[in-house]
Amino acid sequence: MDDRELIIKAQAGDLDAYSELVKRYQSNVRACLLVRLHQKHEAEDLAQETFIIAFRKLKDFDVEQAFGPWVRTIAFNLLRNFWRKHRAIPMGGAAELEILIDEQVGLRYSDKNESDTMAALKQCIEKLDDSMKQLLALRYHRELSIADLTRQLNVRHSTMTMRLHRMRDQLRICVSETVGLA
Amino acid sequence: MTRQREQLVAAYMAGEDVSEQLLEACRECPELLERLGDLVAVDRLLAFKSYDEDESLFSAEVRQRLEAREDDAFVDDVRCRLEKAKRRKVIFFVRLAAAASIAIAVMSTFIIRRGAPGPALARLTTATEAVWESPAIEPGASLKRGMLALQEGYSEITMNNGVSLILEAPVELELCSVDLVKLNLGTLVAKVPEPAVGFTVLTPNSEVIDLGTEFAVAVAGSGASEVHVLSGEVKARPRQQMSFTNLAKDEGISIDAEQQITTIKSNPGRFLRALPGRSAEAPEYLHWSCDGDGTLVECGGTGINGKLYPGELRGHEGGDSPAYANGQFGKALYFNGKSAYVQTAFSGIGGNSPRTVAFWAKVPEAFSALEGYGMMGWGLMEYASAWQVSPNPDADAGPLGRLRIGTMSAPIVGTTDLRDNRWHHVAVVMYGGDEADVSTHVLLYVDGQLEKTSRKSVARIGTELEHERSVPLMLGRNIGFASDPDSPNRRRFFKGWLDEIFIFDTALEQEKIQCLMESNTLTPTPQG
Repeated sequence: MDDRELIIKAQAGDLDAYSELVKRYQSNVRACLLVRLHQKHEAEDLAQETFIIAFRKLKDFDVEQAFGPWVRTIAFNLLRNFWRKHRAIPMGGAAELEILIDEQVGLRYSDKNESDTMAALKQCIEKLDDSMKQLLALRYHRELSIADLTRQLNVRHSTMTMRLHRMRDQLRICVSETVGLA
Repeated sequence: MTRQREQLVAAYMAGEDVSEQLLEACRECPELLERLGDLVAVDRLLAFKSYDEDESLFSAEVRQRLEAREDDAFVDDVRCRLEKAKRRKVIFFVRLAAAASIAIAVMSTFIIRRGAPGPALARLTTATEAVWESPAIEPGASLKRGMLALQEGYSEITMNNGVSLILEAPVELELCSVDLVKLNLGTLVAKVPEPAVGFTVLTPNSEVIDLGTEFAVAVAGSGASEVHVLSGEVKARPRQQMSFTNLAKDEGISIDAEQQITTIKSNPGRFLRALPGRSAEAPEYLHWSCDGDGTLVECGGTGINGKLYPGELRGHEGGDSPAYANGQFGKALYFNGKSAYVQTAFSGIGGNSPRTVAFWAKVPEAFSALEGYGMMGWGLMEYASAWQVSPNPDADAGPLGRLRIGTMSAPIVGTTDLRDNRWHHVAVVMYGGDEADVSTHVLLYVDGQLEKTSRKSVARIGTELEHERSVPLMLGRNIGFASDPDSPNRRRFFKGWLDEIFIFDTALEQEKIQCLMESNTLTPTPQG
């Protein structure tokens, strides 16, 4: 079923149809929020709220328009409100650095290219050597802490932090070259 | 980039406290900030990619939240309608009394409330926190033809042909015959045994005939009706139409006031399908009284699987550990919301086994959502695998500060605001059992009274104890906050007081919970 048919059903209150729309667009909305926000859980909450608001406003949505950009606009509005309410006054240290980083990420990512970045990231992960792939899986899939990683791989703490840094830096360079962010 | 700056960035990304130095370096070198931004973005996208594999989970959560909002609106609507009906009735009787004698009015009340003379059609089997519009009806009472109005709580009626009806207040139901009831307002769940196939529920605008099944019917204040088939099959139609629609398990229909039919998906989580039975006479349990003064919190009770599990007072990253303070029975523990927690080696009660947790809690008036999670919890932070009790810190899941049980699926949130700096007795009861749908029913109690919740069960509870990342019982700490220093989770610790924590391997009935609240034991203290 195409988006238009799903939207018409969802406008009539069909939650099955709406759930299918959420499945199709959730990755894009979540990635756009998560990459811009330091707090992962807040980003997830905002992503859910985006789709709840979208459902409430769906009756006014023109089915001839594209659903993706519309729902993304809702996400950006929520993100702006969130920043307005929650931003700490920069006083130096961790809080100020987090704000600077979030702003930097916002500048670097136009409002269209996280999907491209995600696709590029998948390609770039394939190019990592086996030891880096293993490290990535342990850190990001099994969510092992640095302490657990140092124990499991029998290396010093500083060695582990540098290995992780090199892995991320390699991916950063590869992604930049692939999508032209540099 | 210099090696020193590389190391600084690596340390920051590993969660080390180097923000000041790195901030200084970024001010000196704007390119460093650009690179740092890109690295952080890669880090966030890698983390996202790792948990984005099950797209259906996210959409299921959105759907549950949309359904929960609909349910809340439904209950408010019915309450409002019942209140109006009650006011109308009062006005009616005042006028009647003015026109005739008081004796006639009393007799009219009797006839309307308790039914016309005739044979008994049903019996009130069970009542949980039930309040009837007067006169009160006690469990065991025979019920004749006539109207019943349940204002609070839950009740089970067993018709003489074996049909069980579970009513959730507020509800208005008319018993017409053993085979026919009329639901004017509210919600019922009907369980129909084979000999009673053909049992019929009428609503103001629909007719639902059972074909051997369990189904729920809900009537809103507007007169709109919903039918949800929980198992088996029913047929249903708008009252003004001749033809029926057959509905199977997981299917449902909504019929609006204009008799228009819309197909909906059955929503079992919205309905209470069983009431708690009698709890085990001698359950196994653990009890942390918090009455000591050392760094170990003694554990009493019968033990579970032959073991007791003392707790250890801890302060995260050198911070303060819980402090002893005045409690409800002897001392209590104060948790500072920043670092204090209690660690035990008790792995918890797993799978969908029955359980009760009960304790005293005091939550500050100045409640912060960042200091809400984790009065107590255990399990694994994955879908349906955790068991964590909190004052609700998530406004999207329900009102803040209400008792909440989270499973990493849809949370269940109560209605009493705990944020008043006073002691409240709280209990969370899960029935358990073999039948997944019924076993996942959860009841919340505050100060011995059943809480109203818009959700009665979640799709699945499978508290995971065996996984390498499963967490044993902790008090005062969000089990979702791993020891990883760079965890982005800011909701790490509970701020407030806890006392007399009990965990039982059975679903306790209300009487036992009230006994715990009053005497701190399961056995009532002799009076005198």
